[in-house]
Amino acid sequence: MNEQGNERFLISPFLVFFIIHCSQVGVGVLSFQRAVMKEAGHDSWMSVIVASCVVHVLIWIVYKIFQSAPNAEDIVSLHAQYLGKWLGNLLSVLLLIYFFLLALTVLRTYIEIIQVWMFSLIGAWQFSLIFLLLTYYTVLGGFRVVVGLCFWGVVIPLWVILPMLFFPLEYAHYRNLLPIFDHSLIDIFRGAKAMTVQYLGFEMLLMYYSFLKHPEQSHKWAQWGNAFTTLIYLIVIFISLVFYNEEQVQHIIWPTLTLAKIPEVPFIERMEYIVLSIYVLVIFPIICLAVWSVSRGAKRIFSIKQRKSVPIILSLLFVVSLFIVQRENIEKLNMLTSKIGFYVVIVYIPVLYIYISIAKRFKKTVQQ
Amino acid sequence: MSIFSFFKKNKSKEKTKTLPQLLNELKQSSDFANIQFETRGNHISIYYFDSLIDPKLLQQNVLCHLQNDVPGRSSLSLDDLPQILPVQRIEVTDNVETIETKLLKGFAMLQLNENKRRCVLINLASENLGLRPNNDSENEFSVVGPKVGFVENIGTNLHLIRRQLVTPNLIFREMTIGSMSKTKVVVAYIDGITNEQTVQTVVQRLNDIEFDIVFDNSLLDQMISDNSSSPFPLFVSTERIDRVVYALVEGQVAIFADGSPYVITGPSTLFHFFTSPEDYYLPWILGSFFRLIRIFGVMFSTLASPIYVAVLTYHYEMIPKDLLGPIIFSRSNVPFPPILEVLFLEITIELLREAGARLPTKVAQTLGIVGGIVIGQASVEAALTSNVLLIIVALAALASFTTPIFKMSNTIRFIRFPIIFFATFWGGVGIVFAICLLLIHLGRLQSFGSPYLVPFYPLRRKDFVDSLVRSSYSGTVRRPSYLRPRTFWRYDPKKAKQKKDIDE
Repeated sequence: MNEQGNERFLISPFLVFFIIHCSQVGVGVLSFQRAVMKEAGHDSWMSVIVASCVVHVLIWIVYKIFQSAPNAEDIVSLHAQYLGKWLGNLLSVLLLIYFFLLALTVLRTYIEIIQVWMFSLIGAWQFSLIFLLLTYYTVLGGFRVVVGLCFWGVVIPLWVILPMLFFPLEYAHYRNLLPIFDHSLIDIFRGAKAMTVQYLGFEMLLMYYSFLKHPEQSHKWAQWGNAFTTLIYLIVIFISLVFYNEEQVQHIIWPTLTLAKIPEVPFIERMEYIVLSIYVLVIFPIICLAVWSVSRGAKRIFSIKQRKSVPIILSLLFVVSLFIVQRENIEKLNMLTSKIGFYVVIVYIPVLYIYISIAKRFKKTVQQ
Repeated sequence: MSIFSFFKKNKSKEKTKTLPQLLNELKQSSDFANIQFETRGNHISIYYFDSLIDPKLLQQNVLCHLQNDVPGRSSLSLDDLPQILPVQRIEVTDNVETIETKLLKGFAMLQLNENKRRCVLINLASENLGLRPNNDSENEFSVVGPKVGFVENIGTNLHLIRRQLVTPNLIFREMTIGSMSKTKVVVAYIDGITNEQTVQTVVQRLNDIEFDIVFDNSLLDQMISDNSSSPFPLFVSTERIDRVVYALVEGQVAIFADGSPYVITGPSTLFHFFTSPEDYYLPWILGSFFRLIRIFGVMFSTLASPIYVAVLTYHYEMIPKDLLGPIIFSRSNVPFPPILEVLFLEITIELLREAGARLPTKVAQTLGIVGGIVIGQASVEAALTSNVLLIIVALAALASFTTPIFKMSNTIRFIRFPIIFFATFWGGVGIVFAICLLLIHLGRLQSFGSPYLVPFYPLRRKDFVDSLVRSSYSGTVRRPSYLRPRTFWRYDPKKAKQKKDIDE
């Protein structure tokens, strides 16, 4: 955002709630049970809470970073200020590549799910093309339109998908939850490590921070957004724990989708088709937000017009998504992105904060 | 450059037209009349367009007085005439341009003693000739409430508004649009309520219009709209007085144009198109219920046939066992894929609607019955479509008629077709793609610079009192905030919200 701070483009602080929540809950929520329950078994819900606490702290750190560097608009200028032009821009570019990977992973994984569950014969390129065309139209509208999509991406699925998840409770075995603390602390922390990946997405805050109208007020909403994500994950893991056997989950790729097969009403069967369709609204804002972040970053680093960079990014996404075909490759891509994301949020963000606060203190002493 | 200089010359030539030149030009037309007579040595000549003036006014107010009163006076000059003639709008001028425009608006020009430069212009226009005197607002009918609608005469329309808004703060700003039609356009707003910036935007956009003839207000609507390539109407256009008055009181701006019985109000949101004045005349519970029914109707109307296509083409597993029997039974004879079946019926319904709208009322009624019953039943028996689909399409058509604003119901008719195609290609995912596209599009739209999807996005919690539901009048004391009105309270909130204790 420019110095004059054109208020037309800024968003109200409470909308951060929707952006944070929307960017965190993606394809992961369909399949995260397997990874967490492998480590922490029926105590997985503790891992969810532990991971959530870590992310709360990380969001706090992101806000601290920006508060301690009030001159910086976003991560790009922050890098340039504290790490110099070359190193700073290099780091920014790496971050943008990570955002790009995020968009790619979400896009490709969702298309794979559609191919497996709905259209086994249809080409992946059709879906990625239409997805990316829609993304183009959205991102052209600017950040406000992207945030609007995030808003709908939270509200509509909340009314349509979430209620369906409660139907399986009819067959619940609540004793699955017992005994509590059956797993060691290390197991729970291992589960939390696997879980942290599911909270990824909030780090795009580093890019859109300057688009918030009163950033200090938005902090509260960002934390609420994360808390709401935790609530959703807790509900899902709780229902999965009481519905599935611990061993059984290890053999199901998308346990949440299987849960959605259970509800039965007189006029519709196979609810998972509805869930999968509505899931476009969950996936789509993440892709838009990531593409917007990349194009915004490119503008800040190389001063390329966003109108020009967005088509380039989208065609790149399209081409790359064509080459990732096999199930193993998609799994590898997922692993890669979550590993990078994990280190970005767990290592990089705190280190950056420590570095900035030391650099600031150092500067002060030098000035004195 | 030479071309521009040519135009410039032409323009400056026009400016220096003299009165005899003008008269010669006008005399080419056979309805340009000229009366000449002498009273007591004064030679009087009157020029006017026979087709524009009211002959009765000419006789009673002009000729009669000139022939009876003038002989009694000792001398007569042009400046005396305003006192002699009992006409409300009368002026003495020597400006040729004024004379030209006034003559073309139904004024008579009077010259005295061959004074070639100055003349008197007398208003003799017949205001209501050929215009209907009243409008029963049949296109936006409501059972309860006043049934007076706007007419083609702008004077009458302004009168109707002023009668209900008895406040000196009601401001009319007049302007002329159209190089040929010289249409009188009035921007109305309430000073002290309406945001000044909105008024400025409206006036600015109207001033920027470059056009020849304003046939109807809907032309202005298209020319001042924020996004001209959207199927969605950005401003409410209505023929009901209560709607316009309500909009003005809320803090919106209304645009009147002469010759059009429709009035544009804006900035509008999506929900304004689904509110009916009747919501406010019924108790709030009923009003809210019918509004919800209407919004459900819109969703059903746009999504029913796409869902049918998606389910029967790709997701037949979704049909429960008990329902599968009837569907198979009714579709077993149909040789087409669902998409062709749906397109056939949808287009039939569109044809019926279109034919019904173009034909005279009595024929249209018969056609509706013939079309609806005979074609529907026959196409099922001929195995062109299934019974189930017939019901779905008919209901969807019915639901789209519940929209109170005609422009919006046209939009709903239209957007169904792209969604059907999305559903054909990508099933349920395609429908959600289309919904996404709609949401993004609606999110990008603006009406006079204010967002279209308010109060949903941007979220305005307080504006929900009058959007999906219509709260009771003690709840709607506040004007909606997206209009940024200068005063928020419509009436005293404390008195409106006062609640008495039990048995008090």
